[in-house]
Amino acid sequence: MILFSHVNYSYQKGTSALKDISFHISKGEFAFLVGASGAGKTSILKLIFRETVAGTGRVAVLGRDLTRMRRREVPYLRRQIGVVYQDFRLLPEKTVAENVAFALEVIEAGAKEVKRQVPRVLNLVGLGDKGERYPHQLSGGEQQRVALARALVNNPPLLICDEPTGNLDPDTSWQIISLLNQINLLGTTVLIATHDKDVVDRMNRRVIELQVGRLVRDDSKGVYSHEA
Amino acid sequence: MKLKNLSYYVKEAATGIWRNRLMSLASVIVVVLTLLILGAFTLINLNIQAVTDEIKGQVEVVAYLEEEAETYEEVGRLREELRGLEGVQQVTFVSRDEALERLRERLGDKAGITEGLERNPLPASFEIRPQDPEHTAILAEAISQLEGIESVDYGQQLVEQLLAFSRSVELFSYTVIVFLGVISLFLIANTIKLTVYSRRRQIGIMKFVGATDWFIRWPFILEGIFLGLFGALFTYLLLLAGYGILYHRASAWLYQNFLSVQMVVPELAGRELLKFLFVTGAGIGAVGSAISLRRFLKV
Ligand SMILES: Nc1ncnc2c1ncn2[C@@H]1O[C@H](COP(=O)(O)OP(=O)(O)OP(=O)(O)O)[C@@H](O)[C@H]1O
Ligand SMILES: [Mg+2]
Repeated sequence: MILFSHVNYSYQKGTSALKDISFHISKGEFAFLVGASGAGKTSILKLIFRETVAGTGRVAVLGRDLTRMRRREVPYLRRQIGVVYQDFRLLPEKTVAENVAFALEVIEAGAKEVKRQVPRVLNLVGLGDKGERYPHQLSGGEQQRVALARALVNNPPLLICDEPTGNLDPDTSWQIISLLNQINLLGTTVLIATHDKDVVDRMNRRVIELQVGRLVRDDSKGVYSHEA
Repeated sequence: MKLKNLSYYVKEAATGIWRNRLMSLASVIVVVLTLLILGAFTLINLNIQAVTDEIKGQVEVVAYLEEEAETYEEVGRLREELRGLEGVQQVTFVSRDEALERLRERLGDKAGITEGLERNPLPASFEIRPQDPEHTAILAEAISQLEGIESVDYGQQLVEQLLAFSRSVELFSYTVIVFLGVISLFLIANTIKLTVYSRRRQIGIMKFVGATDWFIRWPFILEGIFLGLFGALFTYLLLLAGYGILYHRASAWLYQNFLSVQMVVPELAGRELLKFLFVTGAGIGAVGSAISLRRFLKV
């Protein structure tokens, strides 16, 4: 599903954000990407949905070699990857249902498809009754669920989340992670970049750790850090 | 562009125009100014064209006599000489009295102004019809060399003058149009830039959920086209009204005072303008937003 092979990446000449990163995530896995701030977590996610392109090495996602993918193919790659951010990125002038529908509309899905999929994902994330609300009328946890619903509305085989619990209290964080786990059980591959030690330790799933741009650990049943 | 997305694009474009309505208005006004000049020039040119065509059809050399030549013998001699020239089909003499009579006829109810004249100021003339209209200029040249002929006049001269006038109008218009055109493009580009800016969040989301570049661009291109079309519509209405009034006032007067010059009727002029203004307006809009998107929309 995701393959990194000796990937190097730098934002500016002379500096290096990622150094010789290699790992493989199979279909149906649930994995955490951990590391201190600036370790390179977001950089890896950006390479996966091809916001950026690896300097050297190879990145393959969903069987496609991203280092050789053409620009105009990128949107079709992204339709297969759901992305969730820490800051939710919802449109304030649209309702919850409209925010979710928007993701389908802009990839040119038909009205029928929108009518069918939007209620389905809103129910899946537990917001079936809040579709008509606006984002500012929701709690942080609920807003994150909307973002999640939007990421899932197109039934992507891969879901990547960049610190999805960064702005949430521990209880709400745990609810979101449980929801992600549930989605994983339905067959979606899930990769989560996080600082959230509690969540990682409690889940006891695969952990890939980065330190200043290097991959230093890859445990199939790991905790946030060995030292702690 | 896929047709099924059209309603989405149009909705987004309309929202964009409304959100930045002040900038939109400014762009439309400058488009109107640009198109007004462009349109006015088109109208002038259209009329010059019509007049030129009309005059070209009336090929006739008018040779005015010197005053001393206006004796019975001289007129007879000149008539024979003119008939003897190569390529002459018909020669008609118009005496001074006849010339005055024609003028009175043309003036109609205003003919009274000629009553006060102490003596007839009009010269006598010959009207010479050439066999081949193409050779009018050569024939006129030959006639002007004849003894007793003061000057010659023929349609071609007027045609050339009109064309020269048309060319200078054209040159002037182009200069102003280029200047205003650049300003319109700049203003439209700037309006689109504001729209892009106010939607950067939405554009960001569209990108990461997998909207194609063109799906993201179309609403902005359409927004520019709409601004251009609004400009074209206002210009069209203004010019049509203006031309209608001018036609009403000037057309009859022109017809009476200058040959049989006629202005192009407003309906026909309007049809010409319509195509021209709308295509140009839409073009300015599309190019303006394309410029903006190239610079500000990194999709
Ligand atoms: N757009 C950018 N331009 C230049 N350098 C950048 C850019 N984005 C990130 N970096 C640098 O790349 C390195 C890795 O950044 P990255 O955002 O991947 O870290 P992260 O692990 O996601 O950190 P955080 O936990 O704070 O989100 C950092 O040193 C950062 O300063
Ligand atoms: Mg980050």
